[in-house]
Amino acid sequence: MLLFVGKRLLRIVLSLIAVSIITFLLLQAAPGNFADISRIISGGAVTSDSGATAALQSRYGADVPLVQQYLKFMWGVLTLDMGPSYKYPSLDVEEIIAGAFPISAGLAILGTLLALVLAIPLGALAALRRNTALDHAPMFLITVLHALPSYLFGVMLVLIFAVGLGWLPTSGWDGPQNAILPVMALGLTAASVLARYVRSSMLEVLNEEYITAAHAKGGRPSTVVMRHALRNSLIPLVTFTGPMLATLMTGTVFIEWLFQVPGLGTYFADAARTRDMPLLMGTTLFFALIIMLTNLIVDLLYGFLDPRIRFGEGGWASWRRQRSKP
Amino acid sequence: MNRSGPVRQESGGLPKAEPEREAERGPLLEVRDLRVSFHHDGRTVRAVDGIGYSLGAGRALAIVGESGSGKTVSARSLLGLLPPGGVVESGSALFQGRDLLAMPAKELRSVRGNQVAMVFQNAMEALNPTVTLRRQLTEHLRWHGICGRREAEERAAQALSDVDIPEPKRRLGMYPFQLSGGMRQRALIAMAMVTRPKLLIADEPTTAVDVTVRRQLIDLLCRLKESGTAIIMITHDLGVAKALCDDVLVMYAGRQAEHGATADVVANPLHPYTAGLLRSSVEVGGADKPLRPIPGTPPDLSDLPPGCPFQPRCTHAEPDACSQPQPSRSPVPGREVACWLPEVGS
Amino acid sequence: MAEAAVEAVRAESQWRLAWRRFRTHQLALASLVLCVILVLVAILAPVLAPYHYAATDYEHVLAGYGESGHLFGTDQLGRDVLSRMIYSLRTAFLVAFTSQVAGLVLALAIGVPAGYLGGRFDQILMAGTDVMFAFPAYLFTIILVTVVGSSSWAVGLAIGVATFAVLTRLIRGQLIALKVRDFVEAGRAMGAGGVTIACRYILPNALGPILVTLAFGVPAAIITESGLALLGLGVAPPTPSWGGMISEGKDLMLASPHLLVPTTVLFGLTVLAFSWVGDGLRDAFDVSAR
Repeated sequence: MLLFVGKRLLRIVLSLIAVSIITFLLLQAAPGNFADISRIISGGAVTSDSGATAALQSRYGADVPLVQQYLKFMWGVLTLDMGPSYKYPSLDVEEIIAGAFPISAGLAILGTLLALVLAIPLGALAALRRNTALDHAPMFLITVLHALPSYLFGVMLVLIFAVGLGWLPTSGWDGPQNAILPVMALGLTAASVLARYVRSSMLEVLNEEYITAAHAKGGRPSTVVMRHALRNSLIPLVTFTGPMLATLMTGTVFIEWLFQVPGLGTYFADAARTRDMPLLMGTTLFFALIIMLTNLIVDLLYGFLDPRIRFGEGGWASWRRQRSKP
Repeated sequence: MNRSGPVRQESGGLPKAEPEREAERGPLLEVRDLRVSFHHDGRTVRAVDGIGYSLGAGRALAIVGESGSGKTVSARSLLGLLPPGGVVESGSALFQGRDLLAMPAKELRSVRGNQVAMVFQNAMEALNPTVTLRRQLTEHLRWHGICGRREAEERAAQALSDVDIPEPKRRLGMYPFQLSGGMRQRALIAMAMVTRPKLLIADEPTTAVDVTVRRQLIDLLCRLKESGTAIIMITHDLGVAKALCDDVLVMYAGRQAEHGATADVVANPLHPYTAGLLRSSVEVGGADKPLRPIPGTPPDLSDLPPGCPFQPRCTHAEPDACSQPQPSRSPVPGREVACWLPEVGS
Repeated sequence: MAEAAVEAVRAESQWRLAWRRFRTHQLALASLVLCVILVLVAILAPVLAPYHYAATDYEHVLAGYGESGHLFGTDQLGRDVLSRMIYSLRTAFLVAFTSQVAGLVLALAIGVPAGYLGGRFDQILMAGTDVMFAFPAYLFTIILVTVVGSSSWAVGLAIGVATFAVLTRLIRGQLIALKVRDFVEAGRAMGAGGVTIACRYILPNALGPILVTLAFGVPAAIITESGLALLGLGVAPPTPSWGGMISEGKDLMLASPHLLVPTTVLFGLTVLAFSWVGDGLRDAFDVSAR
């Protein structure tokens, strides 16, 4: 297993390098640079002569050869000193990331938990009461929810709960009440994806012979469902929840914007808009790292849950090969 | 009743039942006129159409037929394990005097897996791949309140060794995929026997295994039978029926074609379908005789001809006689057959 | 040989079968009608919209529902909400269809050779595509938009490029599965070359799943574009877009919900309509043949 983890970590590092190169080159190709844009935005107050931008230009400016820029930045990544952001020159990129990531991650984790709490009973019930009202009605709602983007749903939530009913604030980040709507938006959207998987996974498991065999042994229906059916149908769920969590962490951009949450997504979007190179590179790499690490953890977790992976012939290697087949 | 501890005797370590007490109470299982239908998309199909038999302790009955003959459905209906859409239309199944088909669900559940156990065809599929053998072989002991965890584990280990699985304690900690095919099948039987059921229903237990394992399984089942367990063996293989079972019931298109002592039926089949089965079977027909499969295709249950369902494929068919309904007759004592032919004399 | 002919014929009747099945799916059918209506509205925007989308009216700023001749009111610059909604619909479709075409072209260009030729070629191409999978799609889109610009076409192109990976895998898979079929052998026996076989024999049979992916790609692209617009990275003003409208209306929603509600509803309906059509298509093509 150590070999498996080792190889994966190596692949992660290589992928990160690839991602960084691609991002870097793309940004170089992007028209407009930070200085020009900030000048436009600030209406001329910030010029390319002012101290901060001058310092940055010397570090990243046009007169420094590309390769050197890139290597300098990558060195910064390795030493965790990525230098100040263009837009927030008083803060270093890694500080920004360290401050904002917990917020984004927190929302993502709470959202995922909400999604699990909703999706598992809903999906399982829909599977158990297949083709009845308990199946069709919730699944229809799920389908609608699934089609709508999280931010649109977020807007609807705000319109209903904040504007219409006035129960919750529309935005800001002062206390726990600000987190309710964002978590709901994230959680319900995620639930819509999970519920369908739970349902189809459960349906598959319920058709298996060992479920009939468990009934044949005289088990109560609830016991058979909980101890055999649910357990086995949730294992594949791990493969979805992991990447979903990662996506939520990185994709909370819109929710953060909508509710004005100072999370990492907001900074990323900002950086993209203002061509804030260091911040953009830093956050992109960080996102990619999170996604890949989450995938690795999910794979390991899956292995622990399914004994066939742990003990089976070929073990990790063969299963990995299986998973990557189209 | 005292269920604790194994009773070591010559019959391979399995506890002996008490045949005298059983005989007093009448047959262990008595099925009468069982009819099961499936409703799907507005159509109704009669999967089992009026079969009946009786079975005593320590006796084995084979229910034989092609796939789709209704043999599995008839067995599953006894335990309330029909798939969705399946309904028992009529009939009774008296197990120790109580009708399984009329029991409330809770009561049936207390019988299921306890006094009547079922062994499924494919061990790999009938065992939960993510659960240890220990759990799977002991959980129903606790469900039925038969014993506590520690004793359950003892019984499970004993059950495994009773079916000739070496190092039973070690195996308990394993997962199904870690056993060989033959061992898995035997573990399945152990799982059923751990509650010391009176009746064991085996659904094609020898179909998915190779010849050597088949031999072992048949021996094992014989031992079980000798120790007093009644067995219903569902199979399409007359050879297996012949090796193990005292009586045989041949089904075709959900109906009972023939019923009688195995030795008699095999030596002198009264129904043309039974004769056809014998001719197409290697083990029974004999290796020197040529195999002759039954002509035609298996029947479509939603589109049966009037009268005898075997008519289209029967070499002795006569349109007038065969289009009449064929109730089970008894041309010879102890034998039943649903065909006019033996009356006339073939 | 006869089998090959039968298989080729089966491709055509497959369509008829799929259409028949689609027809029975009431929701999908209704959604299809709605989609057609929406597309027509988008095309006829200049005719249907009561005002021009950038026409300001400082006399009637932030008017409510039905005030001063504006069915859905006006925004903070006095622009008619209804007209902007309709023009935004047009923007959305422009972006979505561009993205799907761009993605399809790329996916065909990479997926067909990869699947048909196989071997090292396939491995290299797929390794490249896999890197795309590793890239979070949204992030890639954002970065691409900073490169190609923010006209409707550019944004559509960016989205198409960022998301072609899935379609490529699908097309490649179809090629691999179909190139061993009898009718392909027959074609080869009749002297058809690689490109002909790929295009005239295999692709028509693979169109079902491709169509489904495209159908789902439309709402996905609309959603992506709006998302970008929310962040200020979408189609640039003055071209109206739903994302832009939501972005602007967000800060004023407490007092002037009319800025958001109709837009949200129309947005949601459009997305749902195309999703349901996609569902219907998927069911229609799913069981038939193969």
